[in-house]
Amino acid sequence: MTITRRQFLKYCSVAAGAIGLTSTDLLKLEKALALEGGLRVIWIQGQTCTGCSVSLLNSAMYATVQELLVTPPASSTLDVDYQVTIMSGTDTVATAAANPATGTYVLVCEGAVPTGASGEYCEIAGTINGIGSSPVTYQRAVTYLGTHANCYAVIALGTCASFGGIPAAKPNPTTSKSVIGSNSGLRTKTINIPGCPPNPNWIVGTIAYILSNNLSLPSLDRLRRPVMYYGERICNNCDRFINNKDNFIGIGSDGSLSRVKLPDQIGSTRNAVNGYCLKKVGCKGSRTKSDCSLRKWHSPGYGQLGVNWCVGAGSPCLGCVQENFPDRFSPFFHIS
Amino acid sequence: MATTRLLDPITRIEGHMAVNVTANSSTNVITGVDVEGTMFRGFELIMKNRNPRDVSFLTQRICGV
Repeated sequence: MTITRRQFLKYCSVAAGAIGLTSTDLLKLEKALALEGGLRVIWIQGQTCTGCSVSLLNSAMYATVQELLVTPPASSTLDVDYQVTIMSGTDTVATAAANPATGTYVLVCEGAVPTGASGEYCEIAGTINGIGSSPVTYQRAVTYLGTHANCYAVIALGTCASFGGIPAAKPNPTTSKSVIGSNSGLRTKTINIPGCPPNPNWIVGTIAYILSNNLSLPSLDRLRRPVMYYGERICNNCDRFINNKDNFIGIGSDGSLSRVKLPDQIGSTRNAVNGYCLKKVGCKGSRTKSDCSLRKWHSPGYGQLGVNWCVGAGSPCLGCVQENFPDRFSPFFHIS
Repeated sequence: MATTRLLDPITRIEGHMAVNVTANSSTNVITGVDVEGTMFRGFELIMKNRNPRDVSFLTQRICGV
């Protein structure tokens, strides 16, 4: 699977606003893309539902499946060498593409890392070149491919890879951990892009940033998430909050609202249709940092913002981009 | 003479799968096939003692394809 330089650049320039690139970034991006060879990606999957892959494939970047799968001969930019959901080869034909010795690469890890039973709760391949044991556990692959000298960044994609997510929820039967949690040596080169799933623009935008800044990482917060996407609380830009802010006295430092005069029945037509705040029915937006409320989801085409999002559809925010999701955010609904 | 061949990973599916094929190398007849799902999360165990209203939000994440 290769995305042509032209497709990528076209997408980035039209979507620059949506993915948070300035015009200077775009100039730098064009320079970076003029370089020979592409950004080589080895994409491995552990305890995942493949939703993160599907989210990227749903990106408005691709109009057809053909665009995605047909390999153009030259001027490639994003060169996904190994991605088991969409690649055509099987067995050793497939894993030969994941050889770390071939050249520098970015490792994309999707899914939590089970560390129980010596990692045998998830085996990703019979053999991968350079990894001695067979079959290869996900835990071993993350450590080997992530610490390899040819790997200059690790992208922990999705809440599972970033923080453990649902596989690591109580009672954590497989002793699942995040990518950094499974190997603290990876911390300095890991970018977490949490979300269940992450918005495709967060993924594409982060890759675009790396390409346009001489392969350096974007500014990251305490949880190693890109600040440009995970900088503000959901409520700050939420229509439901802004429409009803006269009804609030304020948000405390712990995210609690001190006074709410709003309907508190989940599913009531007043809540859904009139756009009232969903705090009282369990919305976790005040404890969640992401730009969902501005960017929204299901972008209908190049460079357009999405059409809707969870809270817009009347469902309380679950806090899926946060650490300790889902345990710390349960129950999702408050029903009186 | 029986030979076995492990095909791992199987691609273009959601999830993790491996196929172990046993064949008779002189007659080219396949004598056995084992299909393995090579990933376990324990969703059933994670769902225990949870608020029932949360569960649909979690089980929908079993498969994202």
